[in-house]
Amino acid sequence: MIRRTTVGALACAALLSAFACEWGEDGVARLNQLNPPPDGGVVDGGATSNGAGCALPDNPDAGAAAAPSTSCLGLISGQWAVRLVQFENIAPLGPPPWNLTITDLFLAHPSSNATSLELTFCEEETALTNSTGQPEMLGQNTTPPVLVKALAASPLTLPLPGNGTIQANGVVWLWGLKGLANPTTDPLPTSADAGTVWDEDMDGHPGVTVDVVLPQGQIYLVKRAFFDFAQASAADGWFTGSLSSTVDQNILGANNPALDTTVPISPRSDCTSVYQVKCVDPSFTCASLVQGYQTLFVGAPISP
Amino acid sequence: MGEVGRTRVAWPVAAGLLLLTPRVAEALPEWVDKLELSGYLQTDLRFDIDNYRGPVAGQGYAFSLNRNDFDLKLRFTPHPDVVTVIEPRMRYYGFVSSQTLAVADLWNASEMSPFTMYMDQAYVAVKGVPAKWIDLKAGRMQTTWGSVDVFSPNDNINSRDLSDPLDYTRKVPNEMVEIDAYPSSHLTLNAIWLPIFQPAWLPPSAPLAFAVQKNSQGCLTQFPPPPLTTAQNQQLEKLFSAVNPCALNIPDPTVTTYLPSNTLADMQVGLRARLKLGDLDLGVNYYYGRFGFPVAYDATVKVSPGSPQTTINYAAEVIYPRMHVVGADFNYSSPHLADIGVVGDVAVIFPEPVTFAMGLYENGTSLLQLSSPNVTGQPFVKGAVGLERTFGNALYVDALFIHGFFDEFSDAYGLHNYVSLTPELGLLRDRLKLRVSSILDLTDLSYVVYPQLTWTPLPSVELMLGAFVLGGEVEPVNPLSYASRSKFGQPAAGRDEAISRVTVTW
Repeated sequence: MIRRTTVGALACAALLSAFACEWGEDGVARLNQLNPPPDGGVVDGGATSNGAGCALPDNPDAGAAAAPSTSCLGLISGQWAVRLVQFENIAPLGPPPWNLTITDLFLAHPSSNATSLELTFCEEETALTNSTGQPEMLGQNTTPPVLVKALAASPLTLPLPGNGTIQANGVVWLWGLKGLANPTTDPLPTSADAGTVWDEDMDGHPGVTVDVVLPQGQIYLVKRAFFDFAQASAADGWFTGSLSSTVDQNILGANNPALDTTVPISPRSDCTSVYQVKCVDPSFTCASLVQGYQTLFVGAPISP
Repeated sequence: MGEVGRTRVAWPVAAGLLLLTPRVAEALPEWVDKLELSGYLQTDLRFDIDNYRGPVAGQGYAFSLNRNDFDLKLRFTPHPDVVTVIEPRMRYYGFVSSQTLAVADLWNASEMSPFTMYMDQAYVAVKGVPAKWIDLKAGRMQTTWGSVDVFSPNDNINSRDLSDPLDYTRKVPNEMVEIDAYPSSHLTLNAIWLPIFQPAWLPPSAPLAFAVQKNSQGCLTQFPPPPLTTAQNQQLEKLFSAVNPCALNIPDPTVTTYLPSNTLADMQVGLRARLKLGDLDLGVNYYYGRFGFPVAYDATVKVSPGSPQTTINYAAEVIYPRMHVVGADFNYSSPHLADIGVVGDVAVIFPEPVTFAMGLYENGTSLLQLSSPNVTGQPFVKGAVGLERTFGNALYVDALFIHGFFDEFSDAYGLHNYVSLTPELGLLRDRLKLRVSSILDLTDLSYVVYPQLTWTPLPSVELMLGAFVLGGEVEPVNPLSYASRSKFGQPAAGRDEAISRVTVTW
């Protein structure tokens, strides 16, 4: 059978170049031309229009990612890959602050009554750059597999507004904490013997244990993240929106005295954190997400 | 004073005419020999014989059209090798469909009795230039390729004029340059260049394909399914399911074309070779250009919440995808085949892929954007094959199998299969003819039946009575599927009509 591309190439070669062998009409591009997004960006494709230094953790050489799976029925059924990209400041050595980008990865499923998304934790990646923009390993964290498994056991519930899109305020995500009377406002415990500290990863250390690359060691901490998910921009198989995040954490101990200090984390004022939700096949796993998240979300619609 | 004034002016004119008269008298016989006149006068009266296929149910059983065409074809041959053809057509409508007219327009003939001027042909043909075996033609022309009438997938040079679905053989004339070469008595080669694309003309009922359905209280009952997947349309439906359908104000959707540019990049070309071998006529052809019928491209739904009603404006765009067409056709008629004529056309179409996108916006904010391939870009085949035979002196039968109607393009609607059967019975030495054209869509079982009784009381005069009847599912079988609308049953296909027509040809 003659391949279409072969015949197309022959046909193009046989004709004058003026016949324009650029082939294909994209209704999405036309739609965005007719209804430009408020920020003037292109809804479908391209990286975020955040300011300099606010780049999403995408692989710039990856090209366009595969289109979203068609196995999802709105937010009613299917499996979704979720990426929360939080742009923060942290000053482990004092001013000036460094840029900290926290990327939390989840696989999500709609609840049985489609009133919420249940986000199962897959991994957290962090990237630090100093005030000159150079990557820093000092204070760089990694999440041990046992912690990933422990956090995955308690999915994060994201309530849905019921209008086919995503919007939620005051979503609280707790690490190593249990029994807070008011999870959103209670102060975080500062000592390991507080009743609300929970050895969630069951490693015998208070709270949860996070590995630190440099100086090498482990810290035991409790953490609370508040998320406000702004109304999503929905495209075919995509939901994206801006994310307001506030991260509080207290260090309860460390196996390296140099690490036993709580350093505040504050949102970056020059960047907008985002959440990205993409429909994936039922066979898609956390391992696929962790391995491919830098390409999987390339071309995601820009959040409104 | 007025009389005097006219007399003063008229004298010099009359004198001038007198001076010219001898020359005209000399030239007249020569020019008359070089001029051929033909044409027709046709008056047409239509009556809607259904009561449910209009924009709103209950609009029927009324005269729908009175149309009067005056066609004059001039063929002028100033030199034995030069032919000029001009065919203007004037069309006057006897009445307007609206019952309300501005009193201030009651003097205005164009409002009271609308008219249109067409130029069906205007071209010059030069024979034997630049070589003896080459002819050149340029101008506004209508060209037909392929062997099968009407349904040939190789007939892409001119778009169809379906502004009157009953007159389905018409074409949209277009500007073109044609080179015809005759290297031997058996072989003909044609090359055609069309600088500008002209889209097909559509029937007035075409916008009904995009119409929203409302009940008698004006409440939304059905939104036309866009060419998205069923799951996506289900998602859309769920989005609106929580809304009170009576609290929605949905003006008529607007549908606009997104036409190609007039640049060189959008010109069209065609190449054809025809070989005549005895009773067999064979042709192969190639065409690059645009499909003349539109396919859905994008749709914008703008939601403006308000009280007591939320307004939803629906604006869609259609596009004419590019295509390469490689085709072949044949025509064979011989006494060795029991006088049966066999015709066939097949074409492989390499289409430009088209992605349809739909966006929902509320006060400028994007709520939802969905997209799906409408034309995948995969090559597809269209074809038609048929038989025709005359039985005795009275009965002629034409039967066709068609894969892909002339307006189908393997988009989300898909290609259907059809059977066409047209018997024609001639009586009283053909002065009375009964012809029944019929087409059955084998895919959705919708149909068209077009019986016509034609009486020719005197040569050149025809009186015709007929009916154009459509059948099939009026509503989509699956309201979430773009492909589930029946071909001829959907209201966009037009109305059931009774026709009376008088034609005088010369």
